[in-house]
Amino acid sequence: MRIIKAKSYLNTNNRKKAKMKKTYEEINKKIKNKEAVVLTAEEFIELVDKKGIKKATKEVDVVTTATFGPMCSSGAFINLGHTNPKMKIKKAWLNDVPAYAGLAAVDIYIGATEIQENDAGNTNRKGSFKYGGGHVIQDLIAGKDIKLRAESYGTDCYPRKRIEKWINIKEINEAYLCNPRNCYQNYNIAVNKSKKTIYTYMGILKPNMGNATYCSAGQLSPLLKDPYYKTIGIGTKVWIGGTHGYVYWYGTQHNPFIKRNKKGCPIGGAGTLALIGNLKEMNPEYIRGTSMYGYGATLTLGIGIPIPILSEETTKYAALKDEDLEAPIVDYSYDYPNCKTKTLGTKNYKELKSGIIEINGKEVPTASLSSYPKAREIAKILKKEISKAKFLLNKPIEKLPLRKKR
Amino acid sequence: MFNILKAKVEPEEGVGTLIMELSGKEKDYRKGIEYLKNVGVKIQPLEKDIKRDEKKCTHCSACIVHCPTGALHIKDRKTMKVEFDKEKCIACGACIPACPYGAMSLEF
Repeated sequence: MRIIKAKSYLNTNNRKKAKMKKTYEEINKKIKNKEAVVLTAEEFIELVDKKGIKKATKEVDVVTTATFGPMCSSGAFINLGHTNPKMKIKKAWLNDVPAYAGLAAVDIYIGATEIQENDAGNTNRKGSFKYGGGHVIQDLIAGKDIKLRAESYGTDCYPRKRIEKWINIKEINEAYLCNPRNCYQNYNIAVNKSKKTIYTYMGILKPNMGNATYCSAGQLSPLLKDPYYKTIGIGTKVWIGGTHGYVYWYGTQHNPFIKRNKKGCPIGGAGTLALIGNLKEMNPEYIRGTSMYGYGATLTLGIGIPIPILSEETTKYAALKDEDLEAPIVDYSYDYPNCKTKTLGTKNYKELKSGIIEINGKEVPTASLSSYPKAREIAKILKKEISKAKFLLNKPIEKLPLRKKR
Repeated sequence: MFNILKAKVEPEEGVGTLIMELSGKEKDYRKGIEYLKNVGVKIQPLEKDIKRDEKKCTHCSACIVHCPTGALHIKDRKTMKVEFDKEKCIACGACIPACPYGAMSLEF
């Protein structure tokens, strides 16, 4: 007998076991039995640093990510319920903020960035935008009475033409947040190269690159920790504003087809999520009306998304750190408003969070619009909920597009 | 040295009000105040304060780059929480428009 080849299946089996993927069902079973190992994204980074990707993949079941920042493409659908006699609302205002009423009779949509009817905006001087759609949404959630004013042209079946009354979240029918674009996967670092202060959605920017503003939770941020959308997709259950909601579609301006660094991080705004959640269950601590001086009103949202640790590949991305994630520096005085694509280089989130970055030899102080302490708080809340089996994970019904949609 | 912040004269009532900032050596300040009291001027200390509403503040840090004295600053870059050192605050008010949540206010 001559042995031509010998192979040990023992080693192959071990190798297969190490690369074996976990499933959502296995992880959910562990969650229900309160046996799941859940870490926040920051805790996971430390564990992977200490024990390596293989061991971390084996030991950990879920990693929680989170963010708390202004998300302008947000708003709420509200069904007001019928008056007596009934009315087909053509125009509506909530605390003098116009709401869109072009759907059915008593369905309206209040957008986060709509300002009050009598707000002069930036006409005479820079506006404060102290009250807008985002503030209406916060007040509604907080249980405050909101002044509804509505007009109609009247029909035979809906004869009423005007109404002015107080409404409260406890009395209206459905009210749900339905946001076309949230959770931007990365964003710009805004600077101002001009000689005058400018007022933007990235805050007040001082002249001659006097300051730089960024807006991301970095190593806590959901889509930055799942950059190729392997786990977060349509149907993914999320924590939003204090309650549970879902990803209902890819968000507007979703653009995964963007230059990425070696770690897979897109260098600029890329993927986005369209999110939905029940306004009646939300907490005004995590959803705030926001005023950007000289720019407008908006809504700040707290969102948490769990990442199931399915494989070593999931671990590799879920363990990305601030220093692996970089963003482009963009001039908001001329380049951004005039659609110029050039940038002034990139900086990573470790550099941004240090408080000072260097741009073309100049030291520029940095600030964030996104609250890192709040993101950390939400990641911990979600970790607790999953650990107590109050939150099970959903496998996406459909993946987010990885190619640019037409 | 003095800086007049506000002046109002009410001839019908026969009174006028001046809101002033005074700075100098304490000894000279006390002498000046004593003189005014002696000539019948009523003195009322007034404090101009910047206040931070802790419930509204989200610790985003948008304000820190606008604070000229560093009264608003991040002390610990691990927690990333914004601290407010009132001793350093000069009540310039630059933080007020910078705060997206209306957490900062000026009170007389």
